[in-house]
Amino acid sequence: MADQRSPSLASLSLTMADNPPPNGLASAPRPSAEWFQEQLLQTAIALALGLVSMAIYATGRVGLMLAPKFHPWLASGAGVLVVLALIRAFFLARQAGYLSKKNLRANQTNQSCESKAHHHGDHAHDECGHSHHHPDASAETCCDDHHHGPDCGHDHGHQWLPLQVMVLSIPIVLFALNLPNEAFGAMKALDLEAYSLAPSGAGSGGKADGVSFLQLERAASNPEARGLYDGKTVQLVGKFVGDHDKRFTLIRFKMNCCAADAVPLNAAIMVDPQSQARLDYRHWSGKWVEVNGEVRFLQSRDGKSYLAALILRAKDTEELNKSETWIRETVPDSPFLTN
Amino acid sequence: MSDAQMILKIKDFLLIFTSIFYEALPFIVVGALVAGLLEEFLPGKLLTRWFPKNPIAGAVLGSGLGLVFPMCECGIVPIMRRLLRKGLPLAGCTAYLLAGPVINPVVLFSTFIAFSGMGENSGQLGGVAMTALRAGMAYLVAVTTSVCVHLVHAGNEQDVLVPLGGPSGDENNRDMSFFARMDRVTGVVLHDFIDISFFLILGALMSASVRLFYSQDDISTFSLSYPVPAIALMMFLAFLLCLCSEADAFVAASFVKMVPAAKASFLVFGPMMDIKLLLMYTRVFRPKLIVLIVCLVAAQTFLLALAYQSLLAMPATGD
Repeated sequence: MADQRSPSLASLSLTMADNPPPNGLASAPRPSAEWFQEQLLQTAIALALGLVSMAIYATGRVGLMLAPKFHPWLASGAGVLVVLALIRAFFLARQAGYLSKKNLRANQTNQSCESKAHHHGDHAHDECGHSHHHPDASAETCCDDHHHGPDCGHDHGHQWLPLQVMVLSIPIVLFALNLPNEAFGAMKALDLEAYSLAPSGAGSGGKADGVSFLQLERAASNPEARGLYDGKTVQLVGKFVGDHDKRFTLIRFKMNCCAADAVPLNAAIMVDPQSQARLDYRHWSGKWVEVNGEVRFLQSRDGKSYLAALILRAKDTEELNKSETWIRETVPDSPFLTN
Repeated sequence: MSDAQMILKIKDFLLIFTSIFYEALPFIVVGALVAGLLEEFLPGKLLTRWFPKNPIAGAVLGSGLGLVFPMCECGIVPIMRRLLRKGLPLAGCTAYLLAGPVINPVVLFSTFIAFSGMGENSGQLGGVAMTALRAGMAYLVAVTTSVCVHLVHAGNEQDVLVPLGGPSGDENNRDMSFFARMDRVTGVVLHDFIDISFFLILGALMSASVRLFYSQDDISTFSLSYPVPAIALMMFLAFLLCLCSEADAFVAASFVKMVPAAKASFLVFGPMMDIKLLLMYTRVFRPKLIVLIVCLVAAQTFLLALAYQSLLAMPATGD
């Protein structure tokens, strides 16, 4: 079937492969040089994308982009792509005659129009209106086989659009530049001016191990859960975001499938208002930290929403910033929380 | 914005772009591989004999096919364009293309998990209710759209499809050798993979760009004040974000206080129509058919969500 796309957006796709390859391999008519160039380029891009994907998996960079459940998918998909590209390369080489001595000999000795099918359907060269490049044929051996479908239904334009190559090369170039190389960096601190400490509940105190960011965030919207966690001491790991000496926002992203669907989990961290301790936010800002604090909940000014907060009851600035009791630098196993 | 902030934004942009691309890549490969095998080995006559010729029956069946043949929205596109060439009726194909990414076990289960426990909050839907709402809306939208597509384009179906290159696997190729057929299969697979990936990358770039300009807080605040426009806003957001249908429920669930109708519109519209899908559809359908599908899907999703919001939804409260 002829590809009759107009030069619209639809035609921007890599049409280089729209021209069907010959079917019979050694016995088939040989395609044109353009067709081979297009097929080789297409195969090379697919191979490169497959190899880059494998490398992303092998080097662990996949952890920045995808949730663990998708890692095997990427590795498998990349492997299949590489194998397919290699098989395709083999067939192309075979068609080109590089792997077939028989073909090679035939190309060298048999160039007559009569003895070889000029697989051109019933139309003359002029009818198609395209240029015919014959890779290994001189002008007088113009009948060297190249593939044109019987209905002239091939990619007449033999287009090569640099835009397509550029677009398809973007992931490859980014990999070569070692990008992306870190999780989200542009984070916004919560506007804590809009909240105030909610009246404390039972405040049973004590330590609660293994409390997650997600549990605390969900607890904030549930009165019973708020009562359960209120007053407990917990540890949370996240990024320090803020530029205030009495409070900051601890942010961790939860990823379900990939970084694009990651949602921020926020906890407000506040230094005890009664304490003289001050945060050295210039030191901590943007760093991964583990925070030990007492859970309290903040209530929005309109009274409609709550936010989990940790209160740091440090005595002074030195203890707050240096003792590692309340806040310390850490390196998480993964920048993202996943299921 | 300072230079440092700008650099962080650019890095985030690259992270989102690559994550969308590499998440979709294996499914594009699978889709292209299945498409290549179908193209070469599936006789067109078998398909047309087996699939209902009645467009309504085809749409009803196609909308539920995802339960048996689950495919993500990226993987479906290369398969569908090959099956269309094989003679699969346009109505059935459109129905599967639209409903398949929503009405399949994996997506329905992830929706259930994402919304589990949310029903405890006043005015919100829990896992079962939101899963049922999503599946019901998606089914209605897909069936109605497919039937309308058939009614508008009955008799000229081939005119609204983009002709495909690559070898045809019709009956006249059956005598070919195994190697020759493998040659053709790999040709089709790589052709389709490259063809679709080009648009996938463009879509992922656009989607990542959008993230530079909005914050979840802005949308949540807006939706609380304007619940009806929030439905349209969430549909637009779904169009821009290009999320995988398996993951979008978790994003929707993160808008804790948003009205359920707006979340449902996000969950129904996104898997059927987003930037990358729109670009990928250009490899299957002519622009006039794409415009028709976009209008029908958008209008129905909005109206169904609005109807739910007006007639069935419980009023949301703050806590």
